[in-house]
Amino acid sequence: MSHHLPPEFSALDSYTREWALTNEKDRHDHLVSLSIDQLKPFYEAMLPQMDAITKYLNQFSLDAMPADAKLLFDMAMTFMESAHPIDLHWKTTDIEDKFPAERFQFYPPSTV
Amino acid sequence: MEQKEVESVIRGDQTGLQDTINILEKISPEYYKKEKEKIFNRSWLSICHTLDLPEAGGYRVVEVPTFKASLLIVKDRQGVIRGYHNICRHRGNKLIRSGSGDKINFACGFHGWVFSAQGQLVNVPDEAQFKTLNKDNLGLIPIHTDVWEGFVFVNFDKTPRSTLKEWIGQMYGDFKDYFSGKEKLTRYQVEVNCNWNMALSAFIEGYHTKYLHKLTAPDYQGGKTNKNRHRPLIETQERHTRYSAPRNPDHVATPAEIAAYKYGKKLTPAFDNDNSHLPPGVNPLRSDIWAFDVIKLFPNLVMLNSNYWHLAIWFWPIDEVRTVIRAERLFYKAKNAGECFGQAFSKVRAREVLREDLNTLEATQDALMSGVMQDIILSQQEIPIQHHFKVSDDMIGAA
Repeated sequence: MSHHLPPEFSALDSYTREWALTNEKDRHDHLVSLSIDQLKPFYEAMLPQMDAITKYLNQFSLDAMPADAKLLFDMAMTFMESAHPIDLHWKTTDIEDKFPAERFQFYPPSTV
Repeated sequence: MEQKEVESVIRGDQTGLQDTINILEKISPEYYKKEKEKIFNRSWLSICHTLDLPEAGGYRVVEVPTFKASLLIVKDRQGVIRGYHNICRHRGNKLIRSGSGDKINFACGFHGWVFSAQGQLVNVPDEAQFKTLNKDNLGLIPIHTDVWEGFVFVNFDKTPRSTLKEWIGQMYGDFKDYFSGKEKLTRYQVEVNCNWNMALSAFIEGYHTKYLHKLTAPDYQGGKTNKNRHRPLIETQERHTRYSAPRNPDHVATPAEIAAYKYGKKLTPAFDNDNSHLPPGVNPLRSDIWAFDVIKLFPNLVMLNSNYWHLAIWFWPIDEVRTVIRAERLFYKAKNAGECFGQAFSKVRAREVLREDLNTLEATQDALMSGVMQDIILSQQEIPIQHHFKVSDDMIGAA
C-alpha cells in the first residue's frame, strides 16, 4: 500500500503510517494509547491544513476517491476523531472519569 | 439588566408523581421479578432499527438479555417484517448464530432443517425416518412484531394488551420521515453492574450535564440566559416522557470544531437551528434555543433526536443488578468529505459524553447497595424519572 498523499499535501506524508486509520475503534484505541505530547505534533500539523484538505477532498465523490485522496481522507477522519483532548485542554488523551475503555465494546459500523 | 432564567414549560398530567423514591425497593430482586413479569413481558419493546435489515430482504439476529431470548427478525422480499424465536424446532439448536444477512431461508447447521421467511418448516432431510413428524406444526415460533417509524418492536405477551399504535400513543403520527434517509455510523455495547432503572435514569434528565460533562462538553447547553440549563420543554404522556435540551447560544467553538463544521452541518456541541424540515414530533415547542429532544419510550428505550442525528440507547436488564446497554447513532447521509468530518467530530464528542454517563452507574449502584440511604429526591428537572417509576408502579400494580 502506498503511503503517499496527493502532492499538494506531501508535507504530511510522514504521518500516514501512524494516522491514516480506517475505523472508529482503531482510531480510538490508538488515541488512548498515546500521551498528550505524542498526540500534539499530529494535531498541530493537521489543524492548519484542514481547510485545504476539506476543499481538496470535497471535489471527489465519497465512493470514488483515488488511493492517495482516500489516504488523506482516512488521516483527516482520524484527526477529527482525535482532536478533542487538545481542543478541550486535557492533560491526557483519555480522562480518568470515564467508563473504562477496555469494557466499552465497538460493533459494526464502528469497527469497519 | 439581569435576564430571567429560562423556565421549563411542563406539560402533561403529573398527578401521582413522587419526588421521593424508595430506590432500595426499586433495585431489589423482588421488584425486578415483578418488572420482568408485568413490565417487560407486557410492553412493546423496541429491539432494532429497520435499517439494520437489508433493503431487499434479509434477516438480523437480536439478543434480548432480559428473557435470554434470541430473536430472528426477517424481512421478506415484499418488505414485510416478521419476528421469530431463533430456535430450530427439531432439537432446539440456535438457528442463526449472530449477525445479519440477505438470506430469507434458514437452514439449521445441526441437521439441515430449513425454514422460510414466513416461518414454515419447508425441508427436513431424510424426513421418512421420522414416524410422527408433521411439518405444518413445526414452523418457527413467532413473536408479535410490528414497526413504527423505523423501529422494530416485539411483544413477548401471549396476546398483547394493546396495539403498537396504542402503546406509542400521542406521538404515533408525529415523526414522519424523521428517521428515514439517515445512516447508522456508530454502535456500542457495554454491560454494567447496575440496576437498569438507575442506568436509564442517568440518561433522562439534563440536570447533570453542567457538572458531569464539564470536561467533554463544557458549554454545549445553557449559556448566559440559562445558567442552570433548564429544559425548554418537559412533557409526560400516558407511558412515555420527553424533554427538549437547550442549546447554548453563547457556545464558543474550539479549533477542530471550527474546521469540522465549516463545510457541513453543525451537529454537537454546536447545533443548527433550522426547524423548517422537522416533523411536529421533533422540537415540539419549536424552541429557538433547541439542541435535541430526549424521549423515554417506556420501558427501556431512550432516544435523542436532533436536527441531523438520532441516538438510540436501549437498557436491557439481565437481572436486578446487571444491565446491557446498547447505543446506536444515526446521521444524515454525508454527501462529501467535509460532511464526513463533521460527523466524525460529533460522534466522538458524543461518545466521550456517553462514557462519562456510563461511569456514574456502578458507582451509584455500589454506594446504594450499602443500604445506608433508602430514598432519592428528584427535582422538577428530573420529572421524567419520577414519571418512569410511576408508570412502572402502575403496571406492576395491574392485575
